[in-house]
Amino acid sequence: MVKPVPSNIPTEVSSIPVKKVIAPNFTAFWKKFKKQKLALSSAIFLSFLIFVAILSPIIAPYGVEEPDYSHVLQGPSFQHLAGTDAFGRDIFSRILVGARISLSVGIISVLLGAAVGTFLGLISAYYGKWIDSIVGRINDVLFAFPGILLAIGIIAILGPGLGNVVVAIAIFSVPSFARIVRSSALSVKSSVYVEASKSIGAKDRRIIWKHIFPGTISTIIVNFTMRIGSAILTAASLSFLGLGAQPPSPEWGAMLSNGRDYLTTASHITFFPGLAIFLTVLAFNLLGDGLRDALDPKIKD
Amino acid sequence: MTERILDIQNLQTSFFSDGKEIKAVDGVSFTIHKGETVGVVGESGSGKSVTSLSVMRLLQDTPGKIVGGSIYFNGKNLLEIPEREMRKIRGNEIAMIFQEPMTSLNPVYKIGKQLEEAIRLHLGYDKKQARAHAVQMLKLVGLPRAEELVNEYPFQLSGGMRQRVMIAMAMSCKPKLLIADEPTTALDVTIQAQILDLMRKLGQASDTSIMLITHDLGVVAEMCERVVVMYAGKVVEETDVHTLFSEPKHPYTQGLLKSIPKLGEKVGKLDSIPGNVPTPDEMPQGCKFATRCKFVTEQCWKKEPQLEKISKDHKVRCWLHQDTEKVEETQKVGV
Amino acid sequence: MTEPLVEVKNLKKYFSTRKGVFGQKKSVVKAVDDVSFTIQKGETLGLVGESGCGKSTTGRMLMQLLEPTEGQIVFEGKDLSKLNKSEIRSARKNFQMIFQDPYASLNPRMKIKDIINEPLIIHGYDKEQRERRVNELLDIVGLSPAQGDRYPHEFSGGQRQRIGIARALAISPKLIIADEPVSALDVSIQSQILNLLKDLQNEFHLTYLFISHNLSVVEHISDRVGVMYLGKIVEIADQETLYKNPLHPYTKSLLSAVPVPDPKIKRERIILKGDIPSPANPPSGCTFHTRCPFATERCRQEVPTLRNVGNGQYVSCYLV
Repeated sequence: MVKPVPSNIPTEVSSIPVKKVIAPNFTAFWKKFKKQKLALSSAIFLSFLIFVAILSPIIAPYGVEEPDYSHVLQGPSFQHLAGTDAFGRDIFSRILVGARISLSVGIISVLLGAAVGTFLGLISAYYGKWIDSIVGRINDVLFAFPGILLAIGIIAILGPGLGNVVVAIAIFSVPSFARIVRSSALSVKSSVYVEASKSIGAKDRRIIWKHIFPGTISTIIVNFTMRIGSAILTAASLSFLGLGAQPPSPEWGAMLSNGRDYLTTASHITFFPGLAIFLTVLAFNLLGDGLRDALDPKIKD
Repeated sequence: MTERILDIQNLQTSFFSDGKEIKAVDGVSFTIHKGETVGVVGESGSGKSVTSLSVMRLLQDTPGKIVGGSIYFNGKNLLEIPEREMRKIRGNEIAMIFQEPMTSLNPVYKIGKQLEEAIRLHLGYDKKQARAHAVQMLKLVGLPRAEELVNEYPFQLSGGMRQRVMIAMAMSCKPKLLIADEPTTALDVTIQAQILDLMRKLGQASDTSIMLITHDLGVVAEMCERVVVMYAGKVVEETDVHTLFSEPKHPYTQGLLKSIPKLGEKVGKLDSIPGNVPTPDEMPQGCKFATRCKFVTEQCWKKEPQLEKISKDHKVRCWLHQDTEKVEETQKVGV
Repeated sequence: MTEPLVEVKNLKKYFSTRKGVFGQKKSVVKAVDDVSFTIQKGETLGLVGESGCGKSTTGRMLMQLLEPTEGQIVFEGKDLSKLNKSEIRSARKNFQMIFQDPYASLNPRMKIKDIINEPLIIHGYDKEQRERRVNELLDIVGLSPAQGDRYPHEFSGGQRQRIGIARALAISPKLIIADEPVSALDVSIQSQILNLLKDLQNEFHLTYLFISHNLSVVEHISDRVGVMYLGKIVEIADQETLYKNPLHPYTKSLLSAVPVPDPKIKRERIILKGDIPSPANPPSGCTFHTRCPFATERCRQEVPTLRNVGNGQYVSCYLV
């Protein structure tokens, strides 16, 4: 037990009032983020989209899969906001339900890739030497392939279907996370407070999880939002090629593929899914940009 | 009365961020005469560096702005002249050396080129003359192999050598005023001794006035003739160096002098100034030092004292020295 | 003669850097080159020197943050180099470090009570003990328990250093290695922290290794002082002897170079010529000979060793 304190140690410091703080950096981050108008609107749009996607089976005006041969290839109208396709299905409803598919495929695949990539990045940064070399070489190999080709290759091995699309995209997302987490972790690893933790006697596991990983979170989040955009695009491309979602799934890429034959006669079939893909991917990218600027500690206001 | 080189009058510089104004320099006035070395002493938040940047008008890339006062240099008010006229003065008549010799030289240009830039700009020499002048300046600051050095890059030099190059650059156009902002803080003690020695010799040889900004009272004692002590953006004491050390009047100055360990004089316990410099939100209404002063009174909290002359060459900003009657009535209130 | 708390024997730390395409030519940075000293229980040993002298590296080796290239560190009779990883981890209960940069040594994402809690968690204190101890520590260093919920950026430099001290004290170590603990602080705050360190030493019977480049500060706080230059100890003596009667030319010039805050004192300055040589390319013989005003031929060729010149003073110089 410690003996009581000698009275000559100054206690003037306790006179400073304690302010309630929720999280240290959140308020600062939010302030910066609010200033990025584009990113903010993207965030609002995406929140709305996610909300709609969750509720889509309920709010979609028409069924998504049953054909309606009396209303085939109709242009946009009040009854069918985006028109109908070759089977008479309402495109607008299909887009709403397709949002669900695209978003979940995008988010889940990148989440998986992020999890694996972050783990690899952390251990290769912390332990270095041969682990770093191996992970580095794997990364190099994966990076050498353009994403879509790699995805096609993996699908060729696993077979078509949305589930395998998720796996394929997850695999090719791993190296980008591994690389950025590694560099972020390396810089955190060299900070004095990590050294202080080691000097206290912390085990490696603790240092990685409690000190290094939190320092990399902001880079992970930014990369995450950026990758979702390209994941959605890749999933759509794979479905367009017939390797992803199988008919009659209302996945946006598959819808684009369906409209291929009618480009000149009924362009609305490709236009609206295409617009949906475009807006969603754009929104994710803008959000990512805004997040990066808001989270970057060097950009002071 | 020696000629006045620099006359700062009621300078006010504030930083604006998030809609708030932080008064970094709040009504600072002092003078520097020809050939004089004046020390500006203070700690973090005192405003000493911002004062020097204001004189050089180098605040454009910062959220800082000069909001009041005047700075007379050679008869002209620097705050009223256009930028292009100021550019002719910077590096030429007023030169500045910074704290970090590691980062104040451009790493991608050779040393000779950096020296010549200022020389050609202000003295109008041609290439050959400028090169010769640059070499001469390097020799003047005591750098060996000056002819070879002009072709080297900053990374090839040590900290002490880089600081010498900075001094060479600063002195190359024979400035009337040299502003040195913590020039030796980042250097080792033995190198610091060399650099201070050099600065003193050069200053004397060319009759250059020096504004030496530092937190190190030892450096002040060695180099300066007059000292200005700053605290929280204001001048709290101004006098000649001998008086400052033998009869400091402001409680902050007194506290500062008592709290530094002096070589050769080991004491059991160092006197210390309790507390910290208040943040801008916590600044007291009256005297800015009230939160830490041993002799604080009611009046100190309510009203801010002015910088008043208490003898021929000694100014203090403190209620204890304003009114002799009040001094007798003063009761010790506070920590 | 009681057993010293710490005994450092012939400690060396060489960093090799690879040069050349095939990695053949290796240049070696001799950061610490055969350093030996002891620290008695309850004393403060000051380690003083300029950049590149190896004092921080020595401190880090004592803390087991760097592995020595050669040499032994004996703590309470146990040779630390012979312990395995988990034994070292439990040995760490006995020595802790205070770092130079109060801004960088605290994790900005952790509340300060969690920062101080960390050593307690790692060394197995239970929850109740921990809570009590954290509040105790905050009080000891002059902060209030209410401030435990705040984050480092809400505190000033001096306060952060106090938090660092609280963390170092948490598991009641015997030895504290302070690596430039006041160098990054304002002058008026330095004295607060120095006083605090002295009080804590008296209160908790601590032993300090105080590393600094500031000679006045080291004089104030140390019982014994070692002067380092380019990886070697050139002189070591008790504080009074060293400052009143320095024998090594480097010590003499170092002391004369310190600007004294008294304008009346105009000292005889020994100004050294040239710069501090790089530890990657140290001079032959006595590493100080390139700048020594008294260098002889012997100094250029042979490396001097630390000799006892009486009075507890050891100097490494042929001229003494």
